[in-house]
Order: sequence, then structure tokens, then C-alpha cells
Amino acid sequence: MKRRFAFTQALLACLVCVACSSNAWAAEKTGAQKSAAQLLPGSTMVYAELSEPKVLLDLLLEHPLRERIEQLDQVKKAKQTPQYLQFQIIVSLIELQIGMKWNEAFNSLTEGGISVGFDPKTDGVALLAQSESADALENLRDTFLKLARNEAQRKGNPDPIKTTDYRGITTYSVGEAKFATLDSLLIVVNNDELGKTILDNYLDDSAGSLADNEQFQNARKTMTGKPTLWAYLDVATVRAANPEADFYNQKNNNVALELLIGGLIGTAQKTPYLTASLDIDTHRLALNLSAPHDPDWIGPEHEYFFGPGGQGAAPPLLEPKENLLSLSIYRDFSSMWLNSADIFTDKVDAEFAQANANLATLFSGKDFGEEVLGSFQPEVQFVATRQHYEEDRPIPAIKIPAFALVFRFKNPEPMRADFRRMFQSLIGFLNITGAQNGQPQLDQDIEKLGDHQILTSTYAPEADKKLSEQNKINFNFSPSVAFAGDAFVVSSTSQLARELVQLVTKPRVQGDKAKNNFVPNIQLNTDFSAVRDTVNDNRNQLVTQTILSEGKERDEAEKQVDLILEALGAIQNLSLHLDTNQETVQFELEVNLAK
Amino acid sequence: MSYDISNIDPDWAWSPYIPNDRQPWTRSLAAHLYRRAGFGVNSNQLDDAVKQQPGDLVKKMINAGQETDDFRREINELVETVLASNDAKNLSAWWLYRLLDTPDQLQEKMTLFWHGHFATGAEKVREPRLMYRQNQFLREHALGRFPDLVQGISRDPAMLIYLDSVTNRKSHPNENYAREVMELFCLGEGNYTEKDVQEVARCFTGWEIRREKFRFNQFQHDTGEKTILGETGPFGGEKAVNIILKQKAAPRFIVRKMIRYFMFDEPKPSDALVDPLAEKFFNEDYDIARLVERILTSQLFFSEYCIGRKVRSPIEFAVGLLRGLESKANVYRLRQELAQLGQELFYPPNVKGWDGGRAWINSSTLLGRANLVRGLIEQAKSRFTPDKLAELADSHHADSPEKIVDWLVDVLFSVPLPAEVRLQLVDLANRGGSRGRNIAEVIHAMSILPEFQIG
Repeated sequence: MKRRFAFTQALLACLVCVACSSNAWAAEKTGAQKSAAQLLPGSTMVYAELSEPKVLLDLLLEHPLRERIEQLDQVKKAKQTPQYLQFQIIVSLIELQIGMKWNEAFNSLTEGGISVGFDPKTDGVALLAQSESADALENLRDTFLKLARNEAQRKGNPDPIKTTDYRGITTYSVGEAKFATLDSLLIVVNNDELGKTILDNYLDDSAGSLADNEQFQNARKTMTGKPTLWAYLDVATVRAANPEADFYNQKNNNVALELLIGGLIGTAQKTPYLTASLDIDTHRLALNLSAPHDPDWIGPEHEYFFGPGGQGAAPPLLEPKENLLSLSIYRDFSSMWLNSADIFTDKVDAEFAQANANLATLFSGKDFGEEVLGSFQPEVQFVATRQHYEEDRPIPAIKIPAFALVFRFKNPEPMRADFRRMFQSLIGFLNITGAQNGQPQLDQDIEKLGDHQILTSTYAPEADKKLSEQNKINFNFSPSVAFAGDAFVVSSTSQLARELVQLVTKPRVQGDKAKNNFVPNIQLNTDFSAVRDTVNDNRNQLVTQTILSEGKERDEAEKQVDLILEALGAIQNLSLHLDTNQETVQFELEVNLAK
Repeated sequence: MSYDISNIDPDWAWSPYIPNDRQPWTRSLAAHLYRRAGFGVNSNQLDDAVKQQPGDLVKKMINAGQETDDFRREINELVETVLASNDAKNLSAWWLYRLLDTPDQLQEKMTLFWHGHFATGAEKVREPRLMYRQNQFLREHALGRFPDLVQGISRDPAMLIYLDSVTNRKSHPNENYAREVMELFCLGEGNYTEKDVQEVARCFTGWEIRREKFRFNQFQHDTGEKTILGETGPFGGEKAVNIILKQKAAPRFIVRKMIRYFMFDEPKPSDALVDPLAEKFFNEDYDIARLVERILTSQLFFSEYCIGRKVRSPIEFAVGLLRGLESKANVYRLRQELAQLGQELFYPPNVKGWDGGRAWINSSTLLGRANLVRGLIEQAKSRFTPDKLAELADSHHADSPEKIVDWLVDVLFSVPLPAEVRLQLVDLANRGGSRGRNIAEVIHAMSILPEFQIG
């Protein structure tokens, strides 16, 4: 039979998995004690398990953040809709029938974990839940059957439950869904064939299971500890099912997307599987996506992404004061520029060629891709920090974070003069266009900090204007560049440029990834206390926006903005990493909540 | 819509309306006054209005001062943060918020009148703070003396930029401002000559701006003799304005424009009707408040010649609807929609301002008005939601479909609805949906009625 499933269905199944799962039920191959992987067919493409649903549910229901979220107007409104109220009535009715609260019933039904699998061979989705006990499961099942039958009877409909027997096991059908209870195990499927396979494996292992699949076994070995959620995706099957989909080989038309994930195309073309592991507790959420990887899978055109032999490492994150966001990335921009014909579509490639010609005139005829970009090492650091304003200078009404990029020269001397001249020309250009538009003018200056040089420009205060805190947005900027050793800093403010000059000349210390032979490719860290302070700096603006856009009174608007600030205060930081070693590529996201 | 007004007795027209058995003081007349002197009225205001004499009510409207210190503080805080965005479109949204919220509706209505009269566009001025300063100037003098307005606007930096006065130098006088001060601001066409324009332009030479403020540049000012409207001397701009305002055509021009703004779009009032008011306006040193009071308390104002004789401008349409229903909205979005309907504050179409009258209505703007109301209803974040509407109806005891329609007609319509239309609306209010949703649908249906376009 021709396999008929779509990639989107697989993704959908993945999402379902996030809501459900199973634990590693006892490994012995005796009936109800078999694990979900031992029951699901070997052709299962997507598999996920939630080992302790109760812990997750309690976390969701009792987390302090929930109370804050429920104070949001949108949530309050949603809870007043007829649909929600009707849903609440139905839940109450069911609770009355089963004699316990819905969450107690859920915990009882899933105490041993939930697993979900999607089998492309049968186009079937299965949910397996290990309940507290056979009695508890039987009680819930009978209550459900009774409720469904009573409801049908009340409406004058025929019995909606169909009962059949398969190899001595009673199975039930309600519409498209079929389920069976086996001791303390609940099996729900949407497809007869898949259901039979699971029952065959339950009875005598006769159908072959996912646990026997070697690829799955390899994926299982990567699981460390006892994650809240663990999921597996058979990428090889996804690829095989979509042979006509050439998205792995297509040229990119989006430069930003290419810089972000372009190098992963080679891995997507070859990797056999992907695993996801999610850990959640009161203070932390950590997601790890991991896939087998081999540097040889990366084509020469994408060598700019991971570096030769996959050894290109992103520099350590810079940590200036009140740092909102810090990003460091390994990318050989020169290589990407020169290989644009092989990476990008013809249209984008033509734009690169045009840019190359235009930029050459600004750099004394130097080839931009080869000589200018080629003069930098393949790494970039970016930072954004909260700004503090000098009291004797105009303070802008809208306060924007300062931000800066740090590049490293391979050989600083020959390029410094070019970039110095470029900066001065740019400031001159800004002054001319600014004057035409009635904008303030930039004063240029050169500062020396030891051996380092900082070229600054500062917006001159407008004559006859009193110093106030309601000045134009321009006063957020004092565009500057700095040359410090091999570092080249391009900063939105001179203050940040000065701070960075001190930081970029310190010895570099890489994080702890190296101990697993992992090489960082992208590193990002966001400090939410600084984000919150920056948002708070603009509180008046936000309150005004709320008043004008929602017609609220000031006290209501202030309450709403303060709630957003409080929500931001609930998060401590967010970090994101993309790392590789000779065997694995992994993406990690971690959110730490404020204690 | 046009009535024959040639036979109206001016003495009758401008004598004060005193309620009597033949024409008692009703909610409907009070609503007419509120719509013309402001933008809209809600049911509670009508309850209060009918307990007062119309003359007293107009006096209260004219003696602005109902804006509390808290209100002004709030408005000023809002405008400072809006100005920080350096976008005059946000300033336009801010003014809409003010129109919706101010208790001094007449002051805002007059500010809008002078904004259209001394039309200045942010597109050319580019600096929102200058537009805001002009707006504040117009507000402060909205019910003051007309000469103060003209003298002030002649020095207003936004106006100087808009009409190119900044390039008015003695070696090469720029006639833009000189022409408009006579043609559009004070006298009207046919009451001056081209020579007068050239001479007045010379008077304004050297009137510049420096660092966003007015500056008189004596080196660029033409100190020679000029002859303006029959008077000769080494006049400057201030004296030129005084000479212009000495002309009999000046009060007549303003009074005629004011009659059109407050009373009826068509026909053009005759000199016989205009002159008694113009004479008083001139003799009372161009006191705008007294002129407006005479108009709003007159027999003519409360007569069939005025009631339902004006097409609602987009702002009157939207602000009136929201004020009538005690609602607010996303004013950023409202600004955009009003721009599509042809009236964006701080962005008049040209130096003549908005044409008004029938020009507001065509098949496209009618559809746009219906869409605007639909958009207001669908704005989940605004107060103009079905839930809020149901609450509002409850507070006005509109507890049946008939009462809902009557309540809405009371606050939103200037003319009675045909019985058949009313029945259809009652039917709509009685549909299966939620009560709030039904009310919203009735309002939407009302908004496309021809009667709703009339103020």
C-alpha cells in the first residue's frame, strides 16, 4: 500500500506528543508491563513520552505565573465567553458523574505516564496511558461509557459505543476513536490497523515494535536523566516520504534565514533522526533538540557556517553592564559572500554582485567580499544594553537600548584607515541629510584610551532648548567606532563603545561546552531584569499607547503595563545555544524563572 | 436638502429662541444643540439639558472651563509622549482622543473650525511640535477675538512654513501668505486686488522663523510705503492685518462661514441675513464668543431651516457616535479610517481646508463610514464592544428591542426615522444573537441610513 501521509501530519503528531507521553514502563515483555515503545509498531515515525504528567499538570495549575496570567484582560475576557462557560458546565457535569475533580481523574488515568506515537504506515495515531490501577481505569472507562450512552439516549440517538472482540480483548469504538483497556493500560487509536498491531505486540510481540528498531535504540541512548518530555522523530522516514520535496537542496532567497540555519541543511539531508528532550520545573524550562551530525555532510558552500572540519567556534559572550542581550556567532561572511552563487537564488546573487560593485567604491576599490569582509575573522559578537543618560545632555522621551557589534581583524593595520574614513564619511552624510530634514547635527571627536582609539559622534543639543526628558529619539544615539587590538567595535553609543573597548581586550574564556568536545556555533543570552528595566524606562510611553489604542483610563492603562512588567520580572534569563561535535548537532534553549 | 431662505426675516432669525408651547424645549432640540456646538451627546447629558434653559446651556458651553486640572494634566502628559514619537499622525490620534474626552466640546469644535479656516498641513511643516503649538494657540483663542487670531497666526511658525513666509524677503516678496490672509482668512474673493496682495506681501517681508520661533528680520523687511485697500504708509504686517480687518467684508466673511459651520450647508446665506450679525461682530471688536452665542441661541438655529440641514463630517460622524454611546476606541486606527474618509486632523487637503457639505458623501465614503462602524464594533480591545453596549443599554433602561432602538435614535439621530425603518431596526434588535451583538448590529445598520449622515 502506498504510504500516504504528509509532513505536516508528522509535525502535527509531534505537537500532540508535546501534550502527552509515556514513561519507560517495565521492560519485561509481559502484557501490561510492556513499555509503549514495545507496543507501538517498528514503523512509528514520531514518538513522545511524558513520564510524569501529574508533575507537569500540578506545575501548570499551581505555578505563581498562572495567577498573573489570569489577571490579564484578555484571559479574563476569554473566561467570560459563552464557549468557555459551556465548557466549564460540561466539566462540572463529568466531575459529578465520576465523583472526582477533572485533574484528579487525569492524574489517576495517567499516573504511570502517557505516550503518543504516529505510524505513517497505517496513518494512525496512538495514545497509551498507564493509569493508577486496573480498578481506577475500569471505573473511569465505565463512567465514560455510561455518560456517552445516557447522552445519546437523552437525544434519542442510537448507542454511540460499538464493542468488538480482537483475540479475546474487548475494544470500543466511538466515532473515529477506538480504545481498549488492558489491566491498567489505556490504548486509544484512530485506526484499526494500528490498534491491532499494538494488541498483537501486547499479546505476543508478533507485530514487531519500535523498541526493536535499531535507530530508535540509538536515539534512546542519547536520553540523559529523566526528562519531563522526551520525543523522537524518524527524519529518514520523513525524507523518504517526501522525495519530491526538494526543500533540502533549494537555494535560499533569504539572507537572514541562511545566516541563521543555512548550515543545517547538510545535516537535515543526512541525519537519521531527531530527539527532543524537555525539562520543566518551578524555576526552569530547558529544551534540547539533538541529531546525529557529521562535518563531512556539510557542503563546501556552507563551510562558512561551521568552519573547516566543523571546528569554527563562536567567541564567548560579551557581558557589559545591564546587558539585555548578548549574541556571539561563528560565520565566515567573506566565504558566504564569495559563494553566494551556490547558496542563494539568482536574484539574491545578483544583488550581492551589485552591492559588491557599490561597496568597492567606498573601500578605495577593494573587493568587498574578498578583501574587506576577508579582513575579518569569521566571528561576530553583538550586545544590547540598557542606556543611562547624562544629566547635562538632552534625554530622549523614547529610550532605546544601546547596541554594538564587535568584529575581529585578521590583520588590523591595513584596514583601520579604511574603516575610519568610512565612519567619518557616514557621519558627514548623516549631517547633510539630517540638516535637510531639520534633525540635530552630530559632532565628531576622537578619543584615546591607552593604545585604543574611539571615533565618537554626538548629537549637538538644539540651541535655545531647555534640557528636558522629552527630546527626540536621536538623542539615544552617539554613533561610534573603536579600534582595540584586533577588535573593531561599531556601537550605537560612545558610552557602550568605551565599555566594550575594555571588555574586548580581556583574555577570552570559553564556556563549559568544550568538556564534551562541543564547539559553540551560536550563543545567545537574554537577561530579563535588564529587559524589564528598559521597558520600565519607557513606562510612560507604553501607558500612553495603551490609553490611546485601547481607550483606557490612566489607572487601568498603568495597571496593564505594570502587569507586563511584572510578567517580565518573573523571568530571570533566556539562553540559546547551537553546538556541534564530530557526531552530534544540538540546539538548547533554557529559560530560568526568577526565584 | 436646500431650503429657500430668501424670505427669512433677519430680526426673527437672530432673536433668541425662548421655549414656548408651539416649540417646547425638548430632548431632540437639546441633542441638536449638542451636535452642532460639539460632536455628540449621551442620554445622561440630555436628561440634564432639558432641565435647563437653552440660553443658559449655551452660556455654559461658551464659558469653557469644564476641563479640570486633572484632565489638562492628563492631556498634556499624553501629548508630550506622543510628540516624542516625532510623527504628526500620532498627534492626530491624540487630538481625536481629546475630542472624545473633553467636557468642553464647543471649545474643541471651534478649534476644529479654526484648524480648517487657517488650514496648515503637517506634511509640509514636518515638525509635529509646531503643529501642536499652533493647535494650542487656536484652542486658546477659539472663542476669543478674531484679530488676535489673525495676528497670532501671521507669526505662527507652522503657518509661516506652510505658506512659505520664511522665504518672504524684501528683494523678492512671496505673495502666498498675503493672498491667503485676504482671500481665505479675512475677506474672501472679490474684496481685494492683485495690487493689494503685492503690497501686503511687502508688509510681511522679513517675517521669518529661527529655531522654531517667530523672528522679525529687520534687514529683510521692506520699510517703504505701501498702499493697501486705500490706505498708504510704511506699514508692517501687523498694521496690514489691522487694515484688512477694518473692511466691512471681513466680519461678513467670517459670519457667513460660521453660519455654514453651525447652521446649514446650503444655500449660501444672503447679505440681508448675514449683515445684522456681521455688524454686531464688527462693533463688538470681533468677539467670537458673542457671535457664536448669538448663533446658537437664535430662533433660526432651532428652526427647521437648521435642524438636519448639515452633512456630518467624518469626525462628527465618528466622534458623535462614540460620544453618544459613551465609548472610546483605538484612536490610532480611527485616525487611519478618518483619513480614508477624507478628514485627517493636521492634514487638511489644501490651504482652503476641507470643503465640507455634500463633498463628504459619495458611494465610496458611505461604504467607508459603514466599515468604520463595523471596525469599531469588532475592536476587541475598545470599550465599544457588544458586552459594553449591553451594559450601556441596561444603564439607560433599554430593556426591549423597541427601547433599544428609541434610545439609539434619541442620542444618535437629528431627524426622526420613518416608521418602517424603525420597525426593521426593532426586528434586527430582536434577532437570535446575544443582546450586545444585536445592539451592535442595529448600530451598524443605523450607520448606513441616509438620516445618520445628517447632523
